[in-house]
Amino acid sequence: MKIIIRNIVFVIAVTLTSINCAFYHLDKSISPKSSDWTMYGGGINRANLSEVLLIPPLEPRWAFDTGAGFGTFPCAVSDSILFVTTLKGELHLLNIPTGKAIGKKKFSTPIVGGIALGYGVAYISFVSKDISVGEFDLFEKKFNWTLELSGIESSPLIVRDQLFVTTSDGKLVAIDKKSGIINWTFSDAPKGIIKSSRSSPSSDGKIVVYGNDNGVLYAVDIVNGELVWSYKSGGSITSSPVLYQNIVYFGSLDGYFYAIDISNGALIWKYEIGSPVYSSPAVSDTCVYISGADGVLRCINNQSGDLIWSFKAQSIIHAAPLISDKIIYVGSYDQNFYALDAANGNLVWSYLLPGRIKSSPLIWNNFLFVFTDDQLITAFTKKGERP
Amino acid sequence: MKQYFIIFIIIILLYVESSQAQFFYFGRNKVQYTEFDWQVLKTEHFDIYYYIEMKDLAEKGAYLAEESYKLLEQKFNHNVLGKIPLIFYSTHLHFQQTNITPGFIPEGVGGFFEFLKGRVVIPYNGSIKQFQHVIQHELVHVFMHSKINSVLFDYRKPSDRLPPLWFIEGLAEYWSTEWDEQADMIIRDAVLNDYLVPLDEIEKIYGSYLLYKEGQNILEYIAEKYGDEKILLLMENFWKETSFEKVFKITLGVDYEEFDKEWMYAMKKKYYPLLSVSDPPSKVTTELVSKGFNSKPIFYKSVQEDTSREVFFVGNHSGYTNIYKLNLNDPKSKPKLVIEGERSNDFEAFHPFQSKLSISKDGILAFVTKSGENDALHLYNLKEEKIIETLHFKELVGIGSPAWSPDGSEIVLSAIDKSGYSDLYIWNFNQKILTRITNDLYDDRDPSWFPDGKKIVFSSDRTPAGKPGTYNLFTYYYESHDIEYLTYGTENYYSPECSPDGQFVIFVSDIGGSRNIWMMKTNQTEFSTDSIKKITHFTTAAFDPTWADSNRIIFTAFENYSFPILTIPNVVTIFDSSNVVKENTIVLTDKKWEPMSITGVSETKSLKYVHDYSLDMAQSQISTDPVFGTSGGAFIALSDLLGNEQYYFLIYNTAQDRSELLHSFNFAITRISLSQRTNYAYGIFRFSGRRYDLTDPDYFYFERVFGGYFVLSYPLSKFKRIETVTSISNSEKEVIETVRGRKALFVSNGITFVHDNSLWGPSGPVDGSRLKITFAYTSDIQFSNANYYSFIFDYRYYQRITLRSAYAMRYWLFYNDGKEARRFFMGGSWDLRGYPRWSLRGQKLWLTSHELRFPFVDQISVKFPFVGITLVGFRGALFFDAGNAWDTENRQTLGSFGGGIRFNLGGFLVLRYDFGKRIENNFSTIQKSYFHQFFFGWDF
Repeated sequence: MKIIIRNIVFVIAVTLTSINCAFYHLDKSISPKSSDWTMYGGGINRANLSEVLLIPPLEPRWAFDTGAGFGTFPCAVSDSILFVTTLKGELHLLNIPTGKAIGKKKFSTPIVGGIALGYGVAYISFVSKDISVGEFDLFEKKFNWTLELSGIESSPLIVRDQLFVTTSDGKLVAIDKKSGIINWTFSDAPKGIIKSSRSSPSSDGKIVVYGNDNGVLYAVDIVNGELVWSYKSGGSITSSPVLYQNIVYFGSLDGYFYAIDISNGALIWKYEIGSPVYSSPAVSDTCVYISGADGVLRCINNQSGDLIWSFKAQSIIHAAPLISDKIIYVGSYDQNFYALDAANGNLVWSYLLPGRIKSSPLIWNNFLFVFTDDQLITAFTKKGERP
Repeated sequence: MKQYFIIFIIIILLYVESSQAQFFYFGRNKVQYTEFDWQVLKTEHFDIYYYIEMKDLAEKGAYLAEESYKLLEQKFNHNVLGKIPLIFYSTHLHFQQTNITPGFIPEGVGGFFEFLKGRVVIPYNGSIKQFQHVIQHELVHVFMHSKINSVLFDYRKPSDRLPPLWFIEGLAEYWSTEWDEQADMIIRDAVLNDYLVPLDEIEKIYGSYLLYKEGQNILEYIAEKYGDEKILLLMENFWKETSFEKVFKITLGVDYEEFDKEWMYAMKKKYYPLLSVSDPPSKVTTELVSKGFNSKPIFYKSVQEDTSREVFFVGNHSGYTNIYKLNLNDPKSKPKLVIEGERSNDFEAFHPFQSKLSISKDGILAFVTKSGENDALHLYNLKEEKIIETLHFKELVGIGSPAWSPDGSEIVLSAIDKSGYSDLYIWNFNQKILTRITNDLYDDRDPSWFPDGKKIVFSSDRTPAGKPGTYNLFTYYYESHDIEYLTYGTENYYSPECSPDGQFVIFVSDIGGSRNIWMMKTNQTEFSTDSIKKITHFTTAAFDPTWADSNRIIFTAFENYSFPILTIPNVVTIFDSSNVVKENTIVLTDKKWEPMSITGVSETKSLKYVHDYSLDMAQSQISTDPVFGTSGGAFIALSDLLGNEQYYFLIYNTAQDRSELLHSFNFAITRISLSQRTNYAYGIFRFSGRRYDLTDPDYFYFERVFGGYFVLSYPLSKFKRIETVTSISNSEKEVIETVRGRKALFVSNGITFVHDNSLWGPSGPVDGSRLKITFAYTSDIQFSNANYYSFIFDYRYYQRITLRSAYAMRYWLFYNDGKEARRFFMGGSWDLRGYPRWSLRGQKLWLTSHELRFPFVDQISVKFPFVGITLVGFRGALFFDAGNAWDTENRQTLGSFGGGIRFNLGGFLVLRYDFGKRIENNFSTIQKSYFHQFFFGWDF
């Protein structure tokens, strides 16, 4: 009889726990530091440039199965916690050194665009129209505010007190971070035909730049939301632009990669990739690294637009590469994660994973995180060294 | 063949004498005429299966497949993990023998993707360009299937659905070929004749070619109006809703109804102006044959009888494709059947899209049919009305478009050999020699002699002009064997034929975007720029023009989704006055285009094929029955990649308690081999459990039976086969209620002849006939507890009355005799109607059924406020049945008569309702009231 009662109590406990969707506990709220990777691209310019030098060979330290696929920019890091969003609508919190789950929060709608971290809060964008974006208190496990916009499939951008999101009906929305009140909305979409903005916004602190499925790259004043300039490419822009040293870099599905003068929107150079550019670039002081759907990663002189080197993967490179000083990390649909010599593009190291790599990698404190479409997060560290 | 074989085994094992087997045991045969020596070519993304004779073609196909893969990988932003199995056949006739799909492959099918194992099966048809198109079309299916599954997997949604067929096939066309004149012809015709089907109702044309092209057109329109990225987004948003219409609305911002309005209006805006410069064919020509599908007309005027003027053509007016003739002297005459096709092995199939007819000066009609393994060339004496000769060329697999030489001593024809190359050949009747006059990978077709007998004009893609694969006209010089250009266009030129006076060549071309009839003068050594002129200005298309005399042509056109035969007089006058002239500029560079081969660009590896087995099906089940208790088991099916070798494993247990566990195991293992013409199967089984004897409901027993069997099936042709079965089984039976038992060691032998050339309508056969005769003998060789013989005679004949109505007859005699001979049972909707199902039982049985089948209601639409329902294809029947079942003495005859309605639900289930009166008491009284029966099942 005792056993039966114990079993019943256990079943009830499990059931109640399952009903409560926030299934984690934090001892304290998070406080991101400058070395943390709090949003896609590692900063507001989205350069995908890591300050950490992690030299291969690497080895897997741990792997974690999230049970769902990932968007293109699924994660952020703060306080030794890896925050990962999934297409099933879950936020996973993982202890980075151990790879153990701290817990997870289940939301009602998939998260394609990912997450940006603030002090004690996470800004999460959703595909849903009902809750499109919200400030989520990580300690209290509840939303401070939410907004109903068109769904969002891009990564949120935090610039000082404002949060910027691009929406699936083609708008750029500036939101007051604290209150959740919309400061301004920019859109030049014609009536009738919906053109999404799947390109994540980026900024230099003065303007916000983003692309649209209509092929136009918009630069909008960060204060008043007025159009500063725009540039029309020949195809949809799903690539998230990078702002670096007064140049905006972006790719288009027309098969070209563009460098635009940030001050006036004039074309500085364009490079013919020859296949649709779905992925976003990474930029260093000398080079911009970009790949088309042809699976070729190119290092292009960021001033002249001349090709310096190229590297051919066995399939599509969809996720943005990551610069770790002398090493360029990039994943491919061919299931390989590559490390290339930034100077000449030579293959330094590669690792075959069990799924396609569609999401951007991330480095934090000697850990490198790779996300594969078999729903695994794999954390690499330097071979033979325990961080 | 596979399906009949499996069903046959099940019948043999379980229901060998069940009269219900009537619904399964007929069927045509997929004959494995050819033995293929399979090889595997391994490339970066494909395992390519081919046979040794087509190695060169396989390497070219491998190159095309890799190129398509690169393109589609970028378009889908997706890759396919693992190698894609790609199975090539060098001809369509070989392709039709594939066991990868159990069904028959019609003439028009250019390839298919089998998604269970991800196999792509493609035949070559002579044209590299078409080969490329089909490879890419099927690879779009592979990519789309993988992409959709990947999207659903990412979002943790069940992978239980795909987009609708219009999108699947429309996308496959849109991303594999350009919008060509054929696609434009279909949509133009649909718009101008007001049968363009809106997206909201597109299930009405499910599976049709129109659906493919409408789907392609819709996607073209979406890309143009809403943006090219929307096509991929329709797949990437697929997880968002279970209904594709809602995905469509989310992605485009409009629902089907709104989209239909703008799309259909846009099509009208585009195509209606065509009427100001061109006409539907029937408006400006004289119609000779309008009914059904018609092609390849040929004019004949007897030399002996100057008055006779006839047109022979290939037509499908009844479901079977035949050769007909039409008397032009009698405007009221109807086409008369000349050669009955698709009912016998000799004329198994015409190739109405490929092969023309030709008549010699002596009145000998030459035509081609599939006949056994390969195509055969038949010669038919028009005067004597009989086949005088049939030529089988051992080295030629497919034959097309024979053309008599002017003196009647030779025939030129196009043909495909086992390597897949399509070339021209001349058969000399005097010397009995077949000479190959072209020998390369280019597609040579539609040869026709000049009246002087010194030149042959033909169409070929051996041209540097236009894109690779463009067809121009060429002249072959009989004496010198030289080949010279006749046209130099960047468009396509087909079906040339020289006028009887040798002054003109008439042909069709898609110059200007639609296929029309053009003409050129021949009496020049250098073609002047005004020598190619447009003769017709049709809104749709014309095909296969042929001369009726020196000033009249007969041809086929496409209009209102049918193919009438039309004629135009005074073509020379039209030519002289035509101001639509095409320059026939001579191209100075005379290089041929060369298709690339995989060996030139990639490291490959070719290996001999070894059987590569993988799972087809694995299923486990636990069932509970109030009488038989609980049983649990599993079924597993394996087959090799080519579908030739199959294994089936069945295991289950019927134990009611632990003590019965060991002796309640049931299993069966079967191996089926379909790789050769003679199919065979063998296996072992052990069945143990409680049984009812269905023939006697009071007979309730426990039986343990184990043994083995061997089955052979030899198809004599597509329509006939012989089957034999031998089995040995040990049976131990305990009759539970009376506690008596019986042991036996059975040996069974049976032989069966099956014939089936029936043609099916929506609820059952409407033409042809079916026959099954079985002799079987079963004896207990150990205890002599049982021995009996069986004879089954089942004949059905279907007399077509009109296109959609038929008179059906059925005659049964089933006879079992001997010790423990089993009983047949009868009664119900499937046989003797009006009587309770299976209420008549006996070791002997006879039955005759007569039924008039006719269309009843074509369509019923019910419109509710929230949804509309349309039901189509209700069939009616008037019937009369008579028969009886008995054990020792046939004491009476029972019967019934009445009417019924049948409704085909989804193409696989027929619902049937019958009402009428029984004829009882040995056919002496008629039931006073009416009986009503509702059941399911196809008409007999």
